[in-house]
Amino acid sequence: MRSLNSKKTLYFRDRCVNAYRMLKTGRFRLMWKSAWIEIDKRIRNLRARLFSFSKYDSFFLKLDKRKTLPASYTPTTLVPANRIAPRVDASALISELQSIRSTFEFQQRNDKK
Amino acid sequence: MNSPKITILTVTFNAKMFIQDFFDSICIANQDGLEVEIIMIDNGSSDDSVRLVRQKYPQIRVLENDENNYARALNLGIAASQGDYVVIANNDATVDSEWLKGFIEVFQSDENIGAVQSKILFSKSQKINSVGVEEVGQFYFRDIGFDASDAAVYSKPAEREYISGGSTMFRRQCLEDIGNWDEDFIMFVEDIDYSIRCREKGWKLWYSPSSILYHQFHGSASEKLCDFFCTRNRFFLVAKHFPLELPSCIHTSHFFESQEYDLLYRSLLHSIRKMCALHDTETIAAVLRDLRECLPGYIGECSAYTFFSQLEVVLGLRKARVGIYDHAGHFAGGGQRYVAEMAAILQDRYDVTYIFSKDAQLSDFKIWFDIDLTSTAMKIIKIPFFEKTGSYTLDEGMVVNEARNPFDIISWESLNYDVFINANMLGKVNPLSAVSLFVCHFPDQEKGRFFQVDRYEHLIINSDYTGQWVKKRWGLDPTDKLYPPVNMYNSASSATEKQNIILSVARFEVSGSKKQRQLVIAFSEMCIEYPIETRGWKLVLMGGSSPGNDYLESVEEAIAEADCPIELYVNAAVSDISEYYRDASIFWHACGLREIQPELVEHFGMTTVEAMQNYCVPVVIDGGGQKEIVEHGNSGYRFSSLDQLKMFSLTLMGDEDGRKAMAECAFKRSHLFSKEVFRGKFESLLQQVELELSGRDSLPGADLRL
Repeated sequence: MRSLNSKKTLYFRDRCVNAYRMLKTGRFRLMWKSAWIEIDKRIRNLRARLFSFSKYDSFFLKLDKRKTLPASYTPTTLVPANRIAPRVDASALISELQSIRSTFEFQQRNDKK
Repeated sequence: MNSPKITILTVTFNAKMFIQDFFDSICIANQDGLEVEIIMIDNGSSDDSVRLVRQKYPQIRVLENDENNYARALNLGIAASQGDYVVIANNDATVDSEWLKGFIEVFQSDENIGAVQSKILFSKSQKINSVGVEEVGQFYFRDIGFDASDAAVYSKPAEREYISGGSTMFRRQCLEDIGNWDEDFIMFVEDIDYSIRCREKGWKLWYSPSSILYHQFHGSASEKLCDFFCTRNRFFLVAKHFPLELPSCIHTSHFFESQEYDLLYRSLLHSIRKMCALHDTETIAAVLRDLRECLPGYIGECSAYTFFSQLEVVLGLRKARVGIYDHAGHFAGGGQRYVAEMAAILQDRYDVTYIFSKDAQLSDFKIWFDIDLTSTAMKIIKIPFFEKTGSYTLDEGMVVNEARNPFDIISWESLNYDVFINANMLGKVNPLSAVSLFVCHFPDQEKGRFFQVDRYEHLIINSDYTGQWVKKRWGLDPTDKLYPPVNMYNSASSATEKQNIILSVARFEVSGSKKQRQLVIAFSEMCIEYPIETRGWKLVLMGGSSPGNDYLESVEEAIAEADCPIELYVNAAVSDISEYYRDASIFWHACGLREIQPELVEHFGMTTVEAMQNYCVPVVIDGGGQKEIVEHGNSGYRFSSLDQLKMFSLTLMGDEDGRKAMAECAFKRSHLFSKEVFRGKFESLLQQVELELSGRDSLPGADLRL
């Protein structure tokens, strides 16, 4: 198993050999692309790290509180529920629930668009 | 008068440390004029207590419950009991000598008395634990006399509104009249429910001071466990007996006070479900309307919306809706195929919608992967941020310091589904559905801004290698591992009918990460260094490429320089690739060789499995997901340098029998990554998702004294 440092050395050597070959064969476009892939990745990771302190969009936290992080203590697991024989009229219940859902107007949804 | 027959019921769970004292105290208690039967119902103990009781107390009947559920255990015991009176008692306790007689005295005073509770004292302090139960408002209950000294005020029999299940005797007629204990409660508060049901039927509940039980408080259950069930079951109790009060008792619940909104949400869902089995439509509608008013304030507007939506599924009013978001679904790739296979399974059971952010067609999945998604709906939601840039791909890495998250538009869309699957690891989409799944093929990006992956219930990985980097880069633990489905079996393939071909199938990545050029160099060196061994062998490189690929050109150049039998097929048809798999003896894969960036190492390696499914022996890089596929020296070889690649390949080329044996092993090994295995595992995951949507709570056989 190679150490990380020796891997890095090999990696660097490979890049140099590739650059030399590309230079020798006049493949400047490929050379530029390879360099760009390398640089772009590093810049992105750096930027992501820099901005990760403000990682969370607290906007949804207020709207969606049920996702407690980490999840609360619960000793139970879930198993299939037995089918219930509701005393309620299913169609009445469906229309009730639909009408309730239709009353939700997410102002923020429009704000965010 | 005949001697009254009494059954003593006690429910155990890992109660070895208490049970002997309890039974010994009953054995020496005054049983004159009584015929006593003792039944122990065990809830699945693992502490050998069942064997101990069977050996030491042969007169005690032992029943074994199939579920760790106290209320269910009581029902089993009652059904098996013979007594005119049935006592239920905790066993982390001992009883006074007049324990049984004390009950009977009170019963004899009035035939409308259905149940009598003992005086329960703390065993250590001798202070009162309970002499009955009373409500203290807001549907909270407490033991009467709790922690008080055993004074004269508790020395007379008295009627009670509620009684504790810690030590209570029931008249058989009362039990038969009321019926089963409610098993949904599992444990705690079930006695309050039963008290209410007794009184509703006209039975009186009393307390007897001369029946004494000495109890170890929380001897058999932790405070945490007790708090969980008491809070949850309070909602159940209200839903059953005082449904209209349910909305008003949310803000006083421990779940709300301690901001355990996940438990609050789930308890309320289950409570409404319970309510629907007991109450009429008007009552339910009134409760729902009240909840509409108050719930957004407690758990947030989106959670409240999801609550009413999920309720439709919980009550079996409609099929679940599944939304699959693939921001890269407009072009073909391994990740797209992975999720399309999922969609094909899902569309048979649910209302499935595929969401894209670029122009795409579901019929393409049929062309690319032969996956028919005709029962799946499609929606295209374009993201203005990326439309402005005009880029063909949606690279979330471009979103760095924007004030608003451009992917919120997809988050809002997720609200329309019960299950939301983020299919291609776009980490900035916040799932608002009831259940959400995040499929990660590799954590390419650092966490960065608007990182939302920790908001998903399920984090699915495609290999342990990916899982390891998910943990390292994101600090998250994957929940499920699903190897990609590979299906390249060819009935014409066999270990014996092979040609001298070394095959490589991999996309010609512009970055060169698949290392085809190195393979060309390795093969040409082999041909120069070992001309006899390599005579008659050829290397075939196959793979897809976009036009104007400089890396592909450099591979072509290397082939031209090599001056040995190497063939190159770019963007070959699947049927051609299949033929080469059938004919090739050895498969090479070097993706990630000498790379130090983990994303450039093969995360899984589907083509290696494809080769193995065709008896083609893999010689692959010892890194990434390849380590999980190929067992070195058994189903192939793994190399860490080009020298090793050459050495292992020469070994195989020179040993036909060994190669055939290894090809058989590789073929067997490949079944682990087949489409059938994928389907099976995904089905199991779906069962879990379904439980999260509409399952009920059950207590596993865990140690309750956490």
